[in-house]
Amino acid sequence: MQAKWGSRVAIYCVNVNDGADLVRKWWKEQGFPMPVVVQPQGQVSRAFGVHTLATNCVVGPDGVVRYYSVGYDEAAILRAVEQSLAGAP
Amino acid sequence: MIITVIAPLLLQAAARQDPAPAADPARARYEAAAAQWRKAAAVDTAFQFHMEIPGEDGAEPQKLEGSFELRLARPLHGTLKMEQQGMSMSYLADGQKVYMVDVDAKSYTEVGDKLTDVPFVQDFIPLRVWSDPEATAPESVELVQDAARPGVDGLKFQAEDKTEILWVDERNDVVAATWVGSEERPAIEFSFSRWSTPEKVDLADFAAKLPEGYTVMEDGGGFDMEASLLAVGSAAPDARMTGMDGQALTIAGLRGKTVLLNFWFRH
Repeated sequence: MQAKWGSRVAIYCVNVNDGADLVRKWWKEQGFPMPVVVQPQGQVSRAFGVHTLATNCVVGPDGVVRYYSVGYDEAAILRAVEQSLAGAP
Repeated sequence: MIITVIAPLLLQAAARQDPAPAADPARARYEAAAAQWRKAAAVDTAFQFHMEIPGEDGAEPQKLEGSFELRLARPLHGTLKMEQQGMSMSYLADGQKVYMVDVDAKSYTEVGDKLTDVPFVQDFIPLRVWSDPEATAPESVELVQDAARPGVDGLKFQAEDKTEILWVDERNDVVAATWVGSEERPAIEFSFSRWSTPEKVDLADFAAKLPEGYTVMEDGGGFDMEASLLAVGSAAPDARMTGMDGQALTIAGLRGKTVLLNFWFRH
């Protein structure tokens, strides 16, 4: 996904509460290419109101929330990113 | 209740063929503490907990910490708040019913009409005994000591699936608790900074009120996981995250790019 969009899209996997050391180790073991970030106080989840997992959120270049999905619908997520890139509301 | 307490003693005595059964000191110690909890009008307590979730495949255990603040009066007044890793959870009893309150989602769910409908009250022996006069005594109780806790008795309860040690001082105040880990549940250490069981209280001091402007969750079960999400079209909050290299990162700092956030956890 990242390769397709280049630097116009930033993808982050936000860990909810596993602790930085555990996340670092596991992410390395799994060899995932996406950047992973942690939030020691759960501040990102709380700010976005995320209460469940497999939540995805797309924020537009203007800093406005464009899309959410709960569950994993890859096609819908890709569509939301494409729409954001195209400047669609 | 009397029968359940005496019967095991009689059976034990019969097995030993003692003419005069010796009192079980562990059982007597438990009953002394339980008597104190039963006559309390309220429990006002605060404690921290430390939990270890065993790592899979030899990985380091995961450590979680949090705190509870609980002020409850019989029959149905008060509040319980839990904080863990930035997540908070809240229950309140308004004199009629018990509610679970989701501060983030500005909503509440009715969970029942007894204090034992609050999960921690049901799970924690002193609170269950205090809130429910019909609560049965634990089947197995042993007295244990810990050199690091002088003047404190350990009441070790063993049930089929769990082992718990409750540390009580000479006033029968709870100072700590240890839930021994098993395959079914992680080990948890509780350490109490406050434990007060007054025999008389003014219920008005414990009265809790549902916050104004909150909506009722109709399902009566858990939360609506999507109701709390920030609305599409609103400005993304400038929350700070930390990258694996320790570098700080903010949503505002990514302005100009489309950002895809995927929220996940392992456990």
